[in-house]
Amino acid sequence: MYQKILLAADGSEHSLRATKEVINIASLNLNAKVTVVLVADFSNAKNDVLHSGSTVELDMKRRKKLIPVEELLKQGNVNYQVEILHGEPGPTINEYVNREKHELLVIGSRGLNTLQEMLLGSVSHKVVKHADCPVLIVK
Amino acid sequence: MLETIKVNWFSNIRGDVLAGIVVALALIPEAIAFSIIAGVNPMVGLYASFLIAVIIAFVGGRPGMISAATGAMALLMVPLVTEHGVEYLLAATILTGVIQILFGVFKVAKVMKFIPRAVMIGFVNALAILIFMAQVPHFLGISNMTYVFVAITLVIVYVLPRFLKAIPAPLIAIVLLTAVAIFSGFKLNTVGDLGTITQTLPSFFIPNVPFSLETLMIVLPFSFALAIVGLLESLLTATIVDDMTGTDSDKNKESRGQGIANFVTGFFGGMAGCAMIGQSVINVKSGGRGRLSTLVAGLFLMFLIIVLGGLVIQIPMPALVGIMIMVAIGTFDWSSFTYLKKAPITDSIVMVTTVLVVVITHDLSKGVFAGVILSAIFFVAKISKVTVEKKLLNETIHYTIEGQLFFASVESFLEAFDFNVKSEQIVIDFSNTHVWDDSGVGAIDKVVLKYYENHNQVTLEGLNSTSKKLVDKLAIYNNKDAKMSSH
Amino acid sequence: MYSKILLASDGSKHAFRAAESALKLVSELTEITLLYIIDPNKVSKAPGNTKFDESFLREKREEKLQSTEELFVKNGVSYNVKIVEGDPEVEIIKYVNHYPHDVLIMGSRGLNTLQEMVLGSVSHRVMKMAKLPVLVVK
Repeated sequence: MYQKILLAADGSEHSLRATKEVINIASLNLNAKVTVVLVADFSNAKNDVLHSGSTVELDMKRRKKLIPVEELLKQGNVNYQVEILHGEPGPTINEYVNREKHELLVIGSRGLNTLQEMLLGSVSHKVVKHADCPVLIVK
Repeated sequence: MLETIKVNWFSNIRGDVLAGIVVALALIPEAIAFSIIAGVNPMVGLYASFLIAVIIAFVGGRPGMISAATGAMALLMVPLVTEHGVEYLLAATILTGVIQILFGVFKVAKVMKFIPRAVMIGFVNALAILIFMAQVPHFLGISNMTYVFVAITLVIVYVLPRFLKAIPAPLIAIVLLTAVAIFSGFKLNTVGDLGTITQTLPSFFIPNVPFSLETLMIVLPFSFALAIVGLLESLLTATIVDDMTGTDSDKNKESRGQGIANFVTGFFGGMAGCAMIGQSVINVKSGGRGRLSTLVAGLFLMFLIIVLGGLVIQIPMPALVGIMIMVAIGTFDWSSFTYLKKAPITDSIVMVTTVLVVVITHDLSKGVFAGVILSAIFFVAKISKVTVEKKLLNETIHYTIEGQLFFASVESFLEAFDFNVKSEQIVIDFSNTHVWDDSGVGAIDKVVLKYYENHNQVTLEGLNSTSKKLVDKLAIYNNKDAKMSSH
Repeated sequence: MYSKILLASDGSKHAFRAAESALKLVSELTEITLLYIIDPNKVSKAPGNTKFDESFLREKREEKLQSTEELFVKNGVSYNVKIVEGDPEVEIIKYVNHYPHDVLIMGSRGLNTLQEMVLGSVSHRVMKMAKLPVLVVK
């Protein structure tokens, strides 16, 4: 049974599907602790700052993205906490999951094709390659 | 104190040194290109980038942020340089420093939060458009080979980073295309056609301008615009670096630091600069966090110029143009298009106005002023709407006021009352409003006195404590001798 | 809770670690399908045969899956074994498309970028093609 689970989420459709899997897995263990991680991408920093009036507003905007995820987790009676990290999504998630020694990492995948993957880079692919723990990819 | 120095300088040595080197490599083409935009010798921009980066490393308020010669500042200098020459630019740079130091002392950074985001979005978009427009004469209608070189540069800077991240792609493009240009003998304009490179360290001299009131009057408007635009871009960049690193920074110290950097730079033959969004993002992405990264960027830049200066003049202009097009594309806020659709119409108008004013006047500061004034007008118009609701309750007439009561809203407030009543009980409920100034109090007086004239009884209800204090202090309706003419 | 888990195995030690991870996802209601893929390019057939014969398969299962099966038995997990022959990624995708499962679990060799370019990562290709959640275990 998994006890320390990391859910990498951005509030998108596939991260909601990943959340449902987390609820499934956490339901097997009453002591399961889920950490929800949102990465504020370095590449969007300029855009994010430019489009928010203040740092407080920006924090709220990011936190708001996770509201649907949090609602699902609450409904599923999952013990969770939220962490907002800054960096490039793949490496940042890896560094965090390896440092905090999570037992399982769950992440949604956009389901890119080969060309899109080459151009955009697949976060889930990078995460699978460099995370020390098992990774559950949810499409 | 010692602890802060340790954290700011030596907590991330490896990351800072590597990132500093990467930034230095990326800075060279930009410093040259911005000099060309300003219409000065490339050395003016290179010296500026070296000096500003090194000085800011010590006196800046935001560790990890990169400051150097920038496009925004270069664009502002153009008329000064064409009309009066580079010596006046150096004098203006010194004065810009003085103004920014004063900004820091008087904590002007705080005022910057009054600049609405629509203006800031307009600012970066206008900057991007101007940088792009400044490139057009360097590639349009020169030769087919120029187009080819620009295109190759663009392909390199956009495709290569997918595969190779360690070396900045713009530098690879420059090195590669310079080599091709030298060995192929294609006829292309080079940096050497527009200026010379001196492989020496900058030295101290006082700008050769007459010390007169006339000089001051020539330089002052430029210095003022440079000081404001420089501070604006620096504070925006600082906020971006704050966000990326999840740390805070001292904005007033940054303002003072920018001032000191420009002040000194002017005496060493460099042009005014400020923080750079693009380079600071590169620095943080490459692992730079501390002051050491900024210092290394500046020192390594100068080292490269001294070692490689001879080659720098051989850089083909189309390669620089390609890099500047990339900078313009990166500076532009592409989400503006969705913003225009989603944001309130007034915000969209402010944003577009800011851009238009800049593009027409070629002056970023004028765009910012226009945008700020326009949004202030919109703001006043928005909050100057008061609604008054009239109700009959147990033989009394109830007026409920909603909104802000101040000079801009008194008119609509006064129009809402019906004065054709005699010997009635009238209650005015202020619990959803706030009285801001003596115009507001005056309007209340006017209403009360007008009702008194026809022997009505008036009761004011629900004034919040600040409003009540103001009304008690200024209102005259309780004074028996009061006449309407008092207001 | 998962009722149907598919565990893809090539009998390697990575596959065994995947089996250990699978244990952490089972409840009383779970049935694990242990899908063992024999890659004909890697396993030589008995001479003269074009197909693997029964005894050969039994032997292979004994040899490669024994530790996994013991693990399941010891932990009281209900499971069944399917043996298919072919290219691993093709067979895995074919199988899940045909028999829907809640989750697919598979091991990964943990290749670096260069090895991945040369050898190709089975788990990466399966991840891309499969529509169900995939748990990759290193």
